[in-house]
Amino acid sequence: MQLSKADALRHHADVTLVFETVEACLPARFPTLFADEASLGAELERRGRELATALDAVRGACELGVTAVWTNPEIASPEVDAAAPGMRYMLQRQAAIGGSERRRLRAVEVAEALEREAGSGLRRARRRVCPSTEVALSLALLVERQAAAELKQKLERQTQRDVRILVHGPWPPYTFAG
Amino acid sequence: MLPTDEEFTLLELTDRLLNRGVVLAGEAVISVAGVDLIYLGLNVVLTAVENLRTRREPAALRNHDAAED
Repeated sequence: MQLSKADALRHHADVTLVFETVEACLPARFPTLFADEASLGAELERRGRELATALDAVRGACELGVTAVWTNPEIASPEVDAAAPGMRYMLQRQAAIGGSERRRLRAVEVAEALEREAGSGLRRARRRVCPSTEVALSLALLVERQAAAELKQKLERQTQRDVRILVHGPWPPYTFAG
Repeated sequence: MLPTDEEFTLLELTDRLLNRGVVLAGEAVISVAGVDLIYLGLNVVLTAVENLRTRREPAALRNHDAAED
């Protein structure tokens, strides 16, 4: 079976429809496929206790996503002063690793600042630090539904000197469902 | 060139759809947009969402569609 991005987005639309109707929703990973309803029912029964606990953990909550994008690109091969090519390579790797480590620490600072800003409306957070060369941080926040709109505006107003902050959602709690 | 804000949002959402959420059954292999993930040999029958979707559609639209049938 070939599935497409349109199918994935349709899945999201369906999950969102359910999410807007109930107080607690556990999105299933896309794609989640069963032969028939009986098979699905059997799996839900088998996992019932675990899923009930997971539902309680997200009851009344939704997810906000935050992406922090570096405003200046990191230099892949920094200039170093070395005559020999081997030494030059080693110094470049040292500078690159040091730069990457500085970036990682900076990304953690940004995460901590955003989580503090979220305040009492934040239940849980999950971070991906430096997931790519352009992105400092991909942050998932499980927040109280009633507080989500105001919290989103608050986070969008955040300014950091070297990253641009993008806030997404509110979404069903994908990151906190599994 | 960096992705636009909308593209970042779509990337974040797609990441959640494909990599997060409850995993209920993991035996199948499927291909999503040409990327092989897991093997699939199942058919899907899920009626709950269809029922919800039907209830959310305006009654006039449902009646109009029914009349055309």
